[in-house]
Parts: sequence; structure tokens; C-alpha cells
Amino acid sequence: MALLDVKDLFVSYGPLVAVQGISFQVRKGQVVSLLGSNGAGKTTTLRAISGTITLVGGKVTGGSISFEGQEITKVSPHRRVRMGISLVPEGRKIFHRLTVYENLVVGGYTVKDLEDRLEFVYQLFPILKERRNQIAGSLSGGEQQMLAIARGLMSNPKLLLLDEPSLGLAPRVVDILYDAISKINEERTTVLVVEQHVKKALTHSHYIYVIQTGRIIASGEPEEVLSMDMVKAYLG
Amino acid sequence: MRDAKRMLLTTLVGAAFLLLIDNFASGYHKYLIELMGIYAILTVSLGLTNGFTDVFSLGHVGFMAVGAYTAALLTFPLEKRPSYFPELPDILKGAYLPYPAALIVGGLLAAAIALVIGFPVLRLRGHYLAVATLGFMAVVYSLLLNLEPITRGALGISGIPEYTNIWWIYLWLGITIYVTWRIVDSYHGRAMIAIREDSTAAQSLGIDTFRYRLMAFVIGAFFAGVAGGLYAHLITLIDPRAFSFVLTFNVIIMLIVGGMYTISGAWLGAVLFTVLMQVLKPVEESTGLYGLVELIFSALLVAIMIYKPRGILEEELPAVVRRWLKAGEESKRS
Amino acid sequence: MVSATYILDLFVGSFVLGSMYALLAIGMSIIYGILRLINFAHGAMLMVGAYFYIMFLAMGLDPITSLPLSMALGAVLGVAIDFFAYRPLRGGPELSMLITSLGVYIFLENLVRIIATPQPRVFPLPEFLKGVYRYGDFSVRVIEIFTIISTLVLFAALVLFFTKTKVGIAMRATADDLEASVLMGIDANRIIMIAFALASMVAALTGFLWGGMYGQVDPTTGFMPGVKAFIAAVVGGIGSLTGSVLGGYILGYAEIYSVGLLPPEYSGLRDGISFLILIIILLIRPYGLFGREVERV
Repeated sequence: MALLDVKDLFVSYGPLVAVQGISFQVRKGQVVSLLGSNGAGKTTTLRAISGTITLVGGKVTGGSISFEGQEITKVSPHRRVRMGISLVPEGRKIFHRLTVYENLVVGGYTVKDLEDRLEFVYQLFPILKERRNQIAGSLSGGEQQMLAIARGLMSNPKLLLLDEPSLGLAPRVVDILYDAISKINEERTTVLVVEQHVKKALTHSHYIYVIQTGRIIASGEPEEVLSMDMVKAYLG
Repeated sequence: MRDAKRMLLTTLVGAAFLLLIDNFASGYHKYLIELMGIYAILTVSLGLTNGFTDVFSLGHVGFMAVGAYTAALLTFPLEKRPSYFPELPDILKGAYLPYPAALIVGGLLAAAIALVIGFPVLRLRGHYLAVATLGFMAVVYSLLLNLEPITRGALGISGIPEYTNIWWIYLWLGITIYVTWRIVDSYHGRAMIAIREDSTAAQSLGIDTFRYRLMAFVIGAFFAGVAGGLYAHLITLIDPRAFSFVLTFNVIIMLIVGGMYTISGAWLGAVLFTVLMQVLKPVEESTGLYGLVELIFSALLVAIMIYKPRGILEEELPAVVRRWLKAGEESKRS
Repeated sequence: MVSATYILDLFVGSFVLGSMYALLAIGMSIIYGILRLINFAHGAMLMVGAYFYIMFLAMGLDPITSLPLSMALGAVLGVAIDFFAYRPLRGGPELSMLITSLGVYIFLENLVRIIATPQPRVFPLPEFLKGVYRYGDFSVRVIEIFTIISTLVLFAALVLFFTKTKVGIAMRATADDLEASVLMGIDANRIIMIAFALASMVAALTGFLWGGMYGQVDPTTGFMPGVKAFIAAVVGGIGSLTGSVLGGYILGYAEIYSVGLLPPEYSGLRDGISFLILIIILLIRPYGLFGREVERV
């Protein structure tokens, strides 16, 4: 059974239908990538899974999302975090006015054993330990992304959703991030990444879905997908 | 052409009504209808500022006060001034204007002040603007209380000549509605609505939001000032308390309950308010539950905000009536 | 003639008034930070809190029990108002909550007017706060000292709450970015509830202090302090705790000194002066002295 099972999902913002009946699965222990260009509906899909779609004026209008076999479209977003779903939003969205440490504390709002989690994320990103008393807004872009991922891991999620983690970052930083993602996955956290950055996603994923204008147009293992002509044309 | 005919017709019907009221209504009812007209001028002009742009001003009554005191001073009998205002500054000792001119000057002064404070204040956004305009109202109130040589402080000015009658009020209401309608229905008006619905979109369309905000604010202030002058010469006695937060709140209730985004909604709010007030006041007095009227009005405001945030009239009355007529015909046919 | 004692009197008077403004401003700031709502009804919570205290006394309770009870009841009322009036409006235009809060203010004022009559009520100060200390010409009332100390203690307690406890930090996070805080598993409605409870509780305490200082309350008591607090919060930088407290003191000092040192015939300009300060501050520093730009488009 898949950890996450999205079936025939429709999402709209008012009259605008952003996601038009997509279906995909994420198996436990895998890293799965959703690839697609800007406006393909990737971020909307992640928002639907995390439940925050309603906060930005959108709505799931059809289909279902199951997590560990349980239908979750009606579950409020903060409860989904307790169930084990954690989204690292696009553009990082860290708490700019809080310190690095405070960001992590808030990330661990739902867990009892903060110390344990702190140790785990500090090991993953040692720079955050150094900077723990710094105001998060003053970190560099790469450090902010590390903080955003670390904060997302504080709740000890079963499924980590990453929205464009490499966006606007230097290649060296992207390497660090993807190494961390592999490490997170080794610790048995399932990961669903949304990316425009095709190369990184291909080398680090077990399975790939390609979205175009709200629909899945291709799926398979990385080599398989890469060999498809239409995908080559679309992703460039 | 069609518009001109329709306007002529509306004016004639309105005038006929007023003629009937003027000749047959009791003094008390006439007074109510006069008051209603003044409220309507206030709400329609506030609607121009608050409804058609994204400005939410709480200072409207401040402009009304400016107009009221200005017009009252200008028409105040010259011979009574030395004894009544012993410390009046020299320039005001002999400044006299006939009533219609005094109304306009009161409006213009309010508009001029709106222009001056609008430059800084209208650059603020949403909440901050509401507070700053409330601040303007409080400053006006404070000045009315303290500029005793001109305003007579808490005593207020009494013995203002009773020039205002139903015709003057409804003439000015007509002008207010006409001007507002022309603005809303123009290219500029559509620009203002664009600002209201989406400030950033308006900016990206290259609309100079500040200019339209300022225009709506200044024109709104002008009519509030005129309403003040009409009010002063109707009641014949004004004091600072008449222009306090209570009136500010009442005008806002009328506007929001009636419908902030339409002209018909604005004056409908004024009508409803006056009628409800007359129904509820006796209840309040006979039960001794002072504050009941305000309690009901405030509950009404909160309920409207929750269940019908755009007010009773979300579209202009003619459009609503036309739709009703159409629905009636269709049901007859079927 | 302006004597040293007179200046000292003004100093204490400003400190006391500033403290009360600061307490109210803190509440406004907490609510604004999370909801972006300028809560006009906050001043009414001061008045209602004072009436709650009088009510508990009338029920035969002693002052030491009545004060915490009135604060608790204030908190409950605050939460109820949020639930019935503001919660249905979440996600709507920002002005609809502001307008609603105007309505809530008028509602509370007139509800108290109906229940407790419009006549001012004597506010009975507990025995242990009634005394006066004298040093030559200079004198200070115990309630004044109590007001200053309780404000400072409360401020310190709130700073600790917001920096050291998980819920406090979560509240700041919610104020910083509501959507992101939901992603952390925070129930925003619960955080908003806590904010209203906290703010209303502090407002009820301020009501006690206000009543104690001036000896009486009536249904309109809350209006001006509420508006002033809100100016204080904006002057200090709304959303910032320290800013609100400093804003409260700035306003307290500006008012008392301008009235105390100007010729008596200008004393009526006091309220005008507060707004003048507000308008000037908004023009030079639109987000207050200690505020950062909080509005994001």
C-alpha cells in the first residue's frame, strides 16, 4: 500500500482550475519527484496535500487524497502535521523575525521530545547550530532553505513535501541540500519533491511524475522517463 | 438622451413628492424627512470615499463640523456678533455671506482641509488610514471645544438663522447623487472601482491610485461640509457634541447596512436608519432601557458584516427593480 | 510658578497614565500582530473589566478574589467576542473586521448602559491600595505605585512568555507568517483564542487600575483610553511588545507634560495632542518608532 495515494484530484481557485484530475502514488521509503514547468500545478498539488490550499483561496473540488489508507481531504491542515505530513513551502517562508532556534522550536510544536529532534537537524545542517541565536531573516538564501527543511523535519514527519528546494540557490548549495535529502530518506522518511531543476531530481529520485497544465503526462523510473521523447521536449 | 429623460422624470417625481410633503406633512414628519436628507448627503458622499475607493475614512463628521461652523459663522447676523462673540478675530467680524454662498464656502473649506490632510494621510494604508482620519476627527472636536473666541467652546452657537428647508436639502442631495453618479459612471469611476477591488492590479494597469483617492476624499469632504451647513441652519444650534464619535458611527452604520458600494445603498441606509430610529426611540424611552437603540444598531452592523458584507443593496436600485420586473413577467408567462 | 515638586508630580502622573496606556496597547498589539485587526472594542474591555470587579464585590467577594475573577471573566468575554464576531470574518477583507470591532465597541458600551444604568459608579479601592506616601510637598498614592509595578511585572512576564514558552514562540510565529505556522501543526484558531484571552485579561486588569485611579467608572470610560492605547501601539510600532509599552509611556508623558506645562486654557487640547503625535509619527515613520514593515502584499 502506498503511503500517499492521490486519486483524480481536482483543485480550483475560484473559476480557475489549476489541477485537473491528477493521480499518483508515493511508496513508503521512496523519494518521488513531481516535475513540471512554472504554472503546471505542482505547488497547488502540494498545498492540497498539506491542506493549506484553503488559506490561499483555493479548494479541492474533486478526487481524493489518502495518507496511510486514510482519506484526508477533510482533515484540517494542522492535524495533517500531527498525522505525519510536513510541507516545506516554496520560497522558504521561514519565520523571519524569530531566531533560528525559535524557528526550530515552532517546527517541533507537535512533538514532545524537542532535544532529540534538534540534535538530528543540527547533525544534518551543522551551520544551523552555529547560527542558532541569529535572527532567521538575516541568514543567506541557502541557509534559509536549510532552516526551512530542518524546521519541516522537527515534527518527525513520515512524509516530507518539498516545494522547489533548489529555487534560486547556487549549485554548491543545491548539492548540500540534495545530499541532506538522501540522508533524510535513509532515516526512513518518505520524500515528495516538486522541482523545475530536472537533473538533481532525476539522480535522487526513485520514481518520477511529470505534470503539464494540471495533468500527469508521464511517469516511471528516472531512466525510463528520461528516455521518453515527449518528456525530453517538455523538460528541455 | 435616455439618461437625460430619465433624470428629468426622476426630478419631477421627486419634486412632486416634496411638494406634497412640504404642504401636508406635520412639522415633525417634515423635520424627520429633512434630517433623513442630510444623513443621505453624508452617506452618499462618504460612500464616494469609502465605497468607491479602498479608503476607509472615519473623519467624515470632522468635515461636516467644519462646514457647519463655517456656514453658521458666515450667516450669523452682523449686529449680534459683538455681544455673542466678544473675542471674534477682526476678519470674521464683518464677514457675511448669504446662505447659499455660505453653504458652498463651508463645503469648500472642508474640501481644502481634505486636500491638505489628504496629501499625507492618504498615503497610509487600510488600518492606519482609518486611525489617522479618526485622529483628524478628534482634532477637529478638540479645536471646536477650545477655539472659544470663534466656536464658543462647549456652549456651541445658538440662534443660527433657520434658512434650511426641505427644498434646499433635497436640492443638495440631488446634486450629491448626481455628482457621485457621474464620477462612478465615468472612466475615473471605473478606475476607482479597480482600485477598490485590487489595489495592486490597479497599479500595474498604470492607474495613479493616489490621485483618485485624493479626488474621492476631497469631493466627499465638500459634500460633508455642505451637509454640515444645511444641518446648522436646520437645527439652528450647534455644539461640539453634535459632531462626536456617535454621529461618525451612525453614518458608518447607515452606509454599511444600506450598501457601501452603491449610491442607492447609501441613501437607503439613511432612510432605514431614520425610520428605525423613530420606531425604536419610543421603545427605549418607555422601557427606560437607554442604549437599546445603539445596541440594536451595533448588533445589526455586526450581523450585516458577517452575513451580507456588501450591504442590503449590492447593486444599484434601478438594476434591482428591472430584475424584479423581469422575474415577474417570466413567472406570469409560465 | 513651576516648582520641582510639580515637575515630579507630573513625572509620576505620566508614568501612571503611561502604564495604563501601555497595558492596553500590549493587548491591541498582540491581537493586531496575529489578526491584523485594530480592535476598537479593546477599550470596552477595560470598562467591562472594571464593572466585573464591582459586580464581584457586590456579590460579597473580597477584593483579592474579585480581581482575578474579573480578569478571568474578561478573558472569557474576549474569547466569546472573537468566536461570534470576528471568526466568521476570517479570510475576508481586512476592513470588515475593523468595522465589526467598531460595532462590538458600541454593543458593549450600550449593553453595560442598559444593565448597569448610564450613571457613573463609585469604584471601591481595596484598603491596602488606599494609602498615600508623603515626602514634604511631594506625595504619591499607593495605587499609583501599584499601577507602575504591576505594569512592569506584567511586561516582564509577557516577554518571558513570548520568548521562553513554546506557545509564546508559536504565537510570534503565527504573527510572522500565519500560513507557515499552520504548516507547523499550529491550530491558528487556538492561538487567536489565546491572544484574545490574554489581551482581554490584561484589559480587565487595566480597568481595575483605571477605576482605582479615578474613583469611578461609567459605560463610556473605555472609549478614550482605548483610542489612546491604539495610538500608543501605532506610535511604538504595532505588533511589537516593547514598542507598545514605550508608545504607551511616550503618550502618557506627552499628554501630562503638555497639559501640565501649558497655560490652563489649553488643557482641553489634550486629546488633540495625542492625535497630532500620532499623525506626525505616521508620517515620519509609518510603521511606528519600533515597528518593522508588517504589511505584506
